[in-house]
Amino acid sequence: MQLISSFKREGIKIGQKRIVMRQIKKRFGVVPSEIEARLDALTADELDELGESLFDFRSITDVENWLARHQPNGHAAPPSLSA
Amino acid sequence: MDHDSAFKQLLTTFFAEFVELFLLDVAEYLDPQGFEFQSQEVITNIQAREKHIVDLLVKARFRGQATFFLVHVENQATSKSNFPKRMFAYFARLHEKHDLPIYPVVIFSFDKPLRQKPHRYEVAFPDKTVLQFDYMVIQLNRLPWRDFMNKVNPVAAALMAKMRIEPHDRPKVLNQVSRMLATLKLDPARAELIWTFAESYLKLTAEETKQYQREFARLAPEEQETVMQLMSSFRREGIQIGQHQGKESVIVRLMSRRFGVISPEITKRLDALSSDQLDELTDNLLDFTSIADVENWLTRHKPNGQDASSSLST
Repeated sequence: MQLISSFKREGIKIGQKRIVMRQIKKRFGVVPSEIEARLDALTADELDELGESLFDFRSITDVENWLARHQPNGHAAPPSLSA
Repeated sequence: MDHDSAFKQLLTTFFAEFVELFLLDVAEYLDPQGFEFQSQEVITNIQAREKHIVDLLVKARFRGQATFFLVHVENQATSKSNFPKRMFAYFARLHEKHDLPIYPVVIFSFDKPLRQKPHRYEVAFPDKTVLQFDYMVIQLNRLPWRDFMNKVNPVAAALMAKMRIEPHDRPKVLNQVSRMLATLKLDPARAELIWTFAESYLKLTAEETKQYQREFARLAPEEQETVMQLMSSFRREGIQIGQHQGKESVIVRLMSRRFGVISPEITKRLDALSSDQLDELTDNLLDFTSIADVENWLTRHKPNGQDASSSLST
C-alpha cells in the first residue's frame, strides 16, 4: 500500500509537467498553448511515458501525434479505422 | 512512500505521543527524555530462509533509574495466522542479542477481520504450560474512533482513519483530523505526514468529499480560518515535495531510456538537488552521451536542495 496525500499527488504532476515542457521547449522551441493544455489532462504515468518518449521525437508533430493517441480521459484512443 | 516506511516515520517522529496514547501504563515508568531508536535490526529465519527487518526498536530508560528496556513495535497491515509465533521468535532473538527486558507491541492496521487477534503465544503440555508469551495488541479496527476524536495527539490523528468508523461518519473523521492538526500546531512537514495517513486510509469518494466540505463549513469562523491556514501551509509543503518527486521521476525515465539502468547512487544524488537544479540538469540531458556525463555534471553541481524527507528525520 502506498501512502500519498492529494497535495503531493498534485505536486508530482506539476513537477512532471515542468520537465516535459522544458524538454519540448529545449528541443522544438515554444510549447503551443494547446499542447500545454493537453498535458494537464494526462495521468502521472502518461507524463512519465511522454517524458521518456521525447528523445525519439523529431518534431512537435511527433508530440502532437503522441498526445492524439493518449486521449484526455486516460484511455488510449481507439485504433483508427482506415484500412 | 510505502506503508511500512510511513509507519516507521510516524512512530519515530512521535514515539512519546504513541506511548502516551496506547501504552499508558508504560508511560508511567518510561523516561520521556531517555529513549533512543535502534538502527535497522535484521532477524533471519534460517529454516524459512527469510529475513525480517524489525519495524521499530527503541531503547528506553526506566524513569529515575539507570536501567534500560526495549520497546519493540511491529506494524501488521495484513492478518496472518502464524503471527503470534513470529512475534515470539522476534522477542527471543532480540532478547538474546540485547540482553534487556523487551516490551512487545503490535499494531494491526488491516480492515478485516474484525475479530480480536490473539495476544499470546503458548507452548503447553497436558501437565504443564511451558511458555506463555504475552504481547500488547493494538487492533485499530476494533477501536471506536470517537474514543479518540478529542485526544490532542498526532498519532491519534494519523491512525483514527483506520479505526472502527460508521460509514456515514467517514467525512467527519477527516474533518476531525484537520481540527486536531490545527490544535496541535505542528510544523508543515509533520502535519503533512499525518494528513497523508488520514487521507490515504480514508480515500473519500467525491460525494464524501462534498460532505466533508459541508462539515467544515459548520465550524466556527475562527476555527475555519485556523484550519484553512494550516491546510494551505502543508499543502504548499506537499506540493513542493511532490514537485521534486515528479521532476525526478521524468528525469530518471529519460536517463534510463538513454543510458540503461540508473543506479541507486545516482537517484540519491538527484534527491539532494534543488528543484531548480533538476531543471538545469534536464536542459543538459540532451547533450549527454553517457551516464558518465551525468555523473560529471552531478559532481560539478553541489547539491543545494533538501532531501525530500530530510525535514522529518529525527
